[in-house]
Amino acid sequence: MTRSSPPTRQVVVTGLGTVNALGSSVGAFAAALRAGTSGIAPLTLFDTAGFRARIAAQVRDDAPPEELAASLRRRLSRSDVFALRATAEALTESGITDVVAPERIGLVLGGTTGGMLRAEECLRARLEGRSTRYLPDPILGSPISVSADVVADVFDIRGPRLSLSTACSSSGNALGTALDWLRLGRIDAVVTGGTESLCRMTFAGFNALHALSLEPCRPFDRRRSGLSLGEGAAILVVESAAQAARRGARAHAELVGWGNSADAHHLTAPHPEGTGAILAMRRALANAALRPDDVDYINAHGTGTPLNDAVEAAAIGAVFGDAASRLAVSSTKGAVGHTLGAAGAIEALATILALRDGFIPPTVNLAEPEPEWALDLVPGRSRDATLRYALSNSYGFGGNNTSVVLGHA
Amino acid sequence: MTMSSEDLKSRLKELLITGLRLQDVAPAGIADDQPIFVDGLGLDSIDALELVVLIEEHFGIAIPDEEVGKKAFASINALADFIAAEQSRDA
Amino acid sequence: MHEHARVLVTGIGMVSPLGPLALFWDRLRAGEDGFVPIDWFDTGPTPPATAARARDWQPKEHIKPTALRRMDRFSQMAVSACRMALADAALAPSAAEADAMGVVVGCAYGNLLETETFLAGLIAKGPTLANPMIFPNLVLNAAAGYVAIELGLRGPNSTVCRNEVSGEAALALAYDTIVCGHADVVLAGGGDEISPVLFHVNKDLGVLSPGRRRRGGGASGREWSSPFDRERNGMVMGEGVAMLLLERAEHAQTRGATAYAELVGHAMRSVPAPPHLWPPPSTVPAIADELRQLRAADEIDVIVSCANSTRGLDAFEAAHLAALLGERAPGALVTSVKGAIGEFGGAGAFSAAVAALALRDRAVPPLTALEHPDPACTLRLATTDLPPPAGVRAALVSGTARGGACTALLLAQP
Repeated sequence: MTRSSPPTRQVVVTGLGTVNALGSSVGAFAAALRAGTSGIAPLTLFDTAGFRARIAAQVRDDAPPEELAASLRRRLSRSDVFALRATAEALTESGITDVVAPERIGLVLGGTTGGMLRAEECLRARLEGRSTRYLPDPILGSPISVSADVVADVFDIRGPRLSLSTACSSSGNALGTALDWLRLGRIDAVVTGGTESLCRMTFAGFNALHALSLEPCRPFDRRRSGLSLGEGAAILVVESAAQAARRGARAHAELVGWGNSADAHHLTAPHPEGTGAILAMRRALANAALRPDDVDYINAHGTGTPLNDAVEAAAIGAVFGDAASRLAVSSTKGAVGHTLGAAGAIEALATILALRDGFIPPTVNLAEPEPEWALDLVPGRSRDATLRYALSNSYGFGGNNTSVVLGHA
Repeated sequence: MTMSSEDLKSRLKELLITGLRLQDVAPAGIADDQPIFVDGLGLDSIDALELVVLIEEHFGIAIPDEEVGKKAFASINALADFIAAEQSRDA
Repeated sequence: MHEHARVLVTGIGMVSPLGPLALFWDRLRAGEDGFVPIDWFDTGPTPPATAARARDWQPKEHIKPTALRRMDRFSQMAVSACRMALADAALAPSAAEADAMGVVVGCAYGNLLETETFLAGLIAKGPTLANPMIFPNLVLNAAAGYVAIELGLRGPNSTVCRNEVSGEAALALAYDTIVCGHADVVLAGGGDEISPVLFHVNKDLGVLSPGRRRRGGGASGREWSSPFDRERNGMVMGEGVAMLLLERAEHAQTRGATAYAELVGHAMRSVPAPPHLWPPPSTVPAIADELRQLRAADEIDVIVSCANSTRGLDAFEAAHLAALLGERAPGALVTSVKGAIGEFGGAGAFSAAVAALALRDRAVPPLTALEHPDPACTLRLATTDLPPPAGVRAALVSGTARGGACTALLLAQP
C-alpha cells in the first residue's frame, strides 16, 4: 500500500460558516448540536404527496444574501444561495481576503444536486408540454460547478477552482483536496466545503430505493429504518498554521489528514465487510501520522439505514480494535439530516465545534443501539469532553469512502 | 381480465427481461421453477425493488413488504401464482 | 516549492467520434472529423443538426452482460476507456496494485439522459412507480464507481465537475493525488455524452454553429467546427471519454513500462466571466509564473488549445496564449481537437491525450477545417501544409471554461 507523505506544514481552519436546518450561523448550529435538537420536520419545499416519507431537515431561512444585485439573485439556485451565505460568514470571520491576494486563494467545493431543483421545474414544464423550450439558465446552472463559479464571482476568488461530486462523500473529498493544495504550496488559503439542496429527484430516488425512514432517522438504533434527507452548506477557510499565527487569526481546529477509497463492490450498498470504510480510515490516520489511540471521537456517516450503520460500526471496530471502546462515536444526521454532497463539510464543522468547544454532540433519536456493538454511541444527550483528535466519516454511492482527521488547535 | 397461466408466465419473463434490462437472455432461457434471485440472472436488491414497481405498474398489485416479496419472487411459478391469487381475490 | 515525484503517462484508452486510440490518432492526423447528421433525437425544424458521435465501439467487448445492463451509456464509455488504457499500458494490476489504484473522472453533466428519463417517469407515473434502477446512475460519480467495481480498484476515487475543463481538471487532480503520495497509479480523464436537452439549450443560446437565428428565419450559414478560423460561427457538440494512465515514474520503471510523456505539472487560475459565458479576451489568467516554474516557455513546441470554434472562446484563447507564450515561444504550433471531435465537458482529456501522442510521435495533428486563420491569433496555427516539427520537447494543454476557470497542463518528453 502507498505510504502517504507525512505532513510538512500544519494546516488550520480560520473561518467557519454554515446554513442548515439547525441554524443560519455557526453559533446557532453549535448551540443546537449541544442541545440535541433535531431539524427534521414535515417537508414543505415541494409537494410530497405519494411519497412514503414526508419529512426532511429543510432549511427554512433560505433567502439569498440581501446585498447581492437583483440580476444575480434571480439566477441563483438553492445550492448557490446556501454556499454564498456560508461563505460570507466564513470569510467575514477569517478576514483572509484582507491579507491574501485573490489569485492565491483557492476554492474547492463538494455537492451533488447543484441547481437540480430549478432544472427539474424547467424539465417538467417541457415534458408536460407547458413550454416548448428548455430555459438555458436553469439547465446551464444545474452542474455542481456553478456554485463554485458563483462564490468565486461574488467574493473575487481567483485561485484554483474545483468542484467534486462523489455523492455523500463529496465535501469530505473537497476538504482533503484543500489540504493537499496547501501542502503542495499551490496557494496560501483555500475556501472549502460543500453545498446541497433538497429536490424532487433525490427525494424520489431515495424513496424508490426504500431508503427513506418514515419517521426521523435513528442512526445506530436497533429499530433504524432509513435516512432522513437534509440540505444546507458549510464552508471552512483553511491556511497554514504559520500564516494564521503571523496574522493573528484564530485557529478553530487543525485539518490534520484525510483518506479516500472505493469499495469496488456495488453502486449503492456498502461492501459487507466494510473494506472501503476500513481503508479510508486507515489511510486517513496514516496521512495524519496518527495512531488509532490518538483519536477520541468519530463523527460517523451514520445515516440510519440498516446496512450503513452495521457496516460502519464493524469497520470502526476493525480499525480501532481495543481503542474502539474508549472513543465516542456519534452521528449528527438525526439532528441535521443527511445533507448528501454537503454532509462531509457540515459534519466536519460539527466535529470542529466539538474539538473547539469541548463537547460531543449526541446521536439524536438513538434510544437503543444494537447490543453486539461495543461502542459508546452517545445516545440522546451531548456531553462535555476534551478531545485531541477526531475523525469525520462520509460514505457515498459508487462506494466512495472518505475520512477526514481534525485536531484540537 | 385474467390470462392463462402460460400466457402470464410468458409475460412475466418478458417483463423481467425488458424491465430489468437483462442482456442476452431470451424468455426460453428462464425456467419456470428456476430461482429468480440467484447468481444465474445476476439480480440484486435494487432489481427486487424495480420488480415490485413493475408488478404494480403492469398488474396493479402492490407487494406490501419484504416477506411477501421474497415468497412471490422465488420463481416465475411463484410469481405467477401470487399474481393469480391476488387477481382472483380482487375479482 | 516542494520536491516531488515524477508522473508519467503510460497508457491511453478512449471511446471517441474517431474511434478507439489507434484509429483516433490515424484519423486525426489525416485531417478527418467525426461529425455526423443527428438522427437519434429530434433537433427541431431548423439547423443545426450535426454532432460528433462515438463510433467503432462495442460496449459488449469491454463489459460483461450482467454489468452492462445496469450501466448508463456514459459509464459504459468510461469503463471501456479504462480497460483500454490499462491494456495500452500493458498493466494487469495485481490485487495489491488494484487496491491502491486511483480513478479520477471529469465530466460536466454526466448522465443527463437518464436524469430526464427518471424525471419523466416520476412526472408521468408518480412517486410510487419511480424507477429505483435508474436513480443510482444519476450521481455524477456513477462512472467512477462502475470503473472501480468492474476493475476492482480501491484507491482514491474522485469525480470532478469543472464545466468545459473537467478533463484537464481531472488530470490535474490525479497528478496531485500521486504527488501527495495517496496513490502510485491513477486512471484519469473524462468526457461527456451528448444529451438532447443540452443540445437544445446550446442551440437556443446561439453558441452552436451556424449561430443565432436571423430574425424571422432559421439559422443560416455553414454548419462546421473550425477553431481559430476567421469565419467560425459556433461550436458543434461531441461526446466521448478519454482516460490516461498516470503512473509514478519509479513504479513505471520498476515494471519496465514505456511512457508517452511526463505530466510535468499544471496551473489552475480563474478570471471573471459572465455566468455561463467564456471570459472576454481582455482578462488573462495569471498562470505565467506557475508555468515558468514547471518548464521554460521556449521549450513548448506544441499547444493543444481548448478553442472550440465559438467566437468568444477562440478570441480569449488567442489573447491568452499570446500573452502567455507569444514572445517566449514563437515557434510553438497551436492545434485543437474540437475541430474533429466537437465540444463537450470532458473533452480536455482528449486534448491531453493528443499532447501525449504528439510527444511520443513528434507529430502535431492539423486544424482540420481551418480555411482562413483568424488574424487575432498571432501564434502559429497547425495547418495541413506545415511540415512535421523537428522535435516536440514540451506540450501545453490550455483549457478555459464557461464561468472563467482556467486549467493548463504541461507535458514533456518522458
